[in-house]
Amino acid sequence: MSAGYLGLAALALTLVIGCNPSPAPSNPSPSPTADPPAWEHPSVGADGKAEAAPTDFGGGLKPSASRSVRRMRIDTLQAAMSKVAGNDVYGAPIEWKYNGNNGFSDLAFGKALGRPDFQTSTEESGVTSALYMKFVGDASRDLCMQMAKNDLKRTDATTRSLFPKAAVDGTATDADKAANLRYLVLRFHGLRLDAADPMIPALRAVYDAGEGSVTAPGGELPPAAEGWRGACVALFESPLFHND
Amino acid sequence: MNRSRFWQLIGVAATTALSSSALADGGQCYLHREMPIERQLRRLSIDLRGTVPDVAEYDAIAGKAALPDDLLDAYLGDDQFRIQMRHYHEELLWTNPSTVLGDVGFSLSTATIAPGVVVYFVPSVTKLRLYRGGDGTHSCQDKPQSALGYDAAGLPLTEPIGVDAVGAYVAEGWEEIHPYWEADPAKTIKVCAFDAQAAKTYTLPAGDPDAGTLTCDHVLAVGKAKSCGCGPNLNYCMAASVVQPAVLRSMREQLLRSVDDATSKAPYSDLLTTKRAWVNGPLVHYLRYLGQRQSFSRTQNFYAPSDGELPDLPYTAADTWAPIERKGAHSGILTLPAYLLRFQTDRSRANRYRIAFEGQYFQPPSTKDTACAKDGDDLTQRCVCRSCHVTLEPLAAYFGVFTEAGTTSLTDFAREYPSLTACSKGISPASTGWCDRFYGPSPDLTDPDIRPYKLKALRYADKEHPDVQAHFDGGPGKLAAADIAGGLFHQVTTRRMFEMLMKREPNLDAASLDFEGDLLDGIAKEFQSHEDLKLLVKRLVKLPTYRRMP
Repeated sequence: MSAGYLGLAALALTLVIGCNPSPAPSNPSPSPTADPPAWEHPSVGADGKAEAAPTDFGGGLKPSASRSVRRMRIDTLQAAMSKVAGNDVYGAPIEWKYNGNNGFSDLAFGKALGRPDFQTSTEESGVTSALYMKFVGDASRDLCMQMAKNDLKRTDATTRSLFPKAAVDGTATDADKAANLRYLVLRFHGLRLDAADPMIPALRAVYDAGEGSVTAPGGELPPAAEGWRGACVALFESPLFHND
Repeated sequence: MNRSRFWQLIGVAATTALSSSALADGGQCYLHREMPIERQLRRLSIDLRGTVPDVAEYDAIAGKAALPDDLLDAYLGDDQFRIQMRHYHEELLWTNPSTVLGDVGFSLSTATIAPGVVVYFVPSVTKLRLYRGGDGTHSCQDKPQSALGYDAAGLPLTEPIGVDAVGAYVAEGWEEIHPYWEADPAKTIKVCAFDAQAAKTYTLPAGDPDAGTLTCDHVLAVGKAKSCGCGPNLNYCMAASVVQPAVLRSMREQLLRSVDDATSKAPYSDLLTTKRAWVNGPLVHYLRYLGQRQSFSRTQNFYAPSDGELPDLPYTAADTWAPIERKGAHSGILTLPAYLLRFQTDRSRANRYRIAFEGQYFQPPSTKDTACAKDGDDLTQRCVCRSCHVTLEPLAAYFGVFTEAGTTSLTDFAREYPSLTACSKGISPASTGWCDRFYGPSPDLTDPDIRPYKLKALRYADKEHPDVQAHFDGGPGKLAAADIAGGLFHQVTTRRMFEMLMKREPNLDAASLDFEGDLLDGIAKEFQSHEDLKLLVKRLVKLPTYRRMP
């Protein structure tokens, strides 16, 4: 498990760093509201010689602060994971189940996850704690398994939630799998990726690892479905799902 | 596959995902960037609907430069937005009035008096002694009361059962009663015959200090009248495990329905000022019968006419809600049971109000306090205490018109009695317990032997504290009206909505280039003019700030 947490720590670090470290040569678009005057980088150096101002330091209007990012509340997490998971073949919403209750409800882990009852706890922490990660992992694995099993029962591929664009009978091409991954990233994270996006091969590696983990028949899922389940868990556990 | 390696792969994959070109905006690193349109939709959906969009919704806005206004309007009109506003106000008002609403005076217990025979009875020792004698630990016996009969006055006949440490005791039988909390009219339970009595009144004979006809549905009847039981259909008593949770749930829902009104229809300030409230079956039953049965050591929830005319709803009509118009000092959610019972002292009510609607918090002083009273009861004078209490006490006086630890309106109560005896006679039958619950002695400065009894909230209403009486008379409505008219209510609401939607506090450092105070002041003024919370939310989510990623 420690390797897993290393990966997740790297992921969190990336979130903190926030953006691609390559230089930004052009100016941000000006704000329509009255902002302070642009700050001009001096074009005369300390040695008195004229020189071109570095493009990334070029003058421009400073946009006001952006919206910040917070982790989802437990109510939102419960609703969002269930919505992304979709319905089962009978039309009932797929939910994380624990002892017959919704895992996020107060009858299961809702309070442990920090849902306030306004008596003993009065506010919900926005911290992504180890406990939160553990329960999200549990929920993800349960929901993704249900999604995969229900999809296997669906004969109309277009009605599938987890692999509508790539068959799991061994006939799916690389292009099919890439298309399905793009579909999943849109469904889970609200990102419409182009085919060359580096996220696709990374998720494809997760898919391949999952598919390769099924070495003998008779498991709960066939190899390709196991691959999609792995991708599903990765997408559910990504900060892109939880933080907005 | 090795499990830890699988997790490592997931972590690496997701890390890579965060470097997706979809978020990198052409490989450049601006401090702030506009989010992709789909991600904007996701953000908006989470904030306004509490969940994420589906793929069809993402596809509907594909290629658009900005989210269309009609989509925003649809989200604001969605029932999920109403739910989100409920969440917001629950965090603001802590709507969980978890308190004990029943006690031994009218809560029913069960006893198995024979194999398979369970009877309900009131376990109050006072009642048990009154009914059956002995040490007050005995219930009835396993016989239908029809087999024993009734005396000429209608009291159940009893049979001697034995002698305990105190003396002889007797027992009556049981009766089959349909309890009010059961929806099925055919369903009955066995109730000890004394407790099953349906009398509504009792009469104290001439010569008794409280001679006359009095009602059985009152706390003071509990130990006084042998002929008083639980009333028709057990109306005056309750199975606490069944009725109490339903009443508490209803109190919470009652407040949230007021939130629905204020957030779905303008004006939003109705939240603090409206006289309208919603009641359902359990609340009507509680207010009509049970609220006045609490012993004085518990919350006091006497119904008063100013609480509004109660509709004719049976207890079982839990899902039927009817509006009532309250009167007098009632003012929005501030005088609903869910607020008054969640914040049981005047100070805590004032403090929560100040936090929620004035955006201010009490903090201990950071400097040494001098030239102040080192001891004494008056916290507005006392060292250190006074830094908060000089503000808090006058503020708390606004809430004094509703009893502490209860919802009883004191509007119709006498403000003062000249003595404890006179105070005790303020209710019939006379009760010093009642007097002590609502009044406190206040030494007369001219003659210390005179101890008039004043309403507790008015004990400091004197020349040194001129605001207390005026604020008490004005009630919470006067406080709310001042904040609404002055714009503070709108400023604080605007700021709180900004924080909810932007997930951060606004920058109110006037020296900063990112100063947002003027912007918020402008939006608050707009909000004050239209009082439409949805318009406020729309204004905020249309700010460029909302669309940016950090």
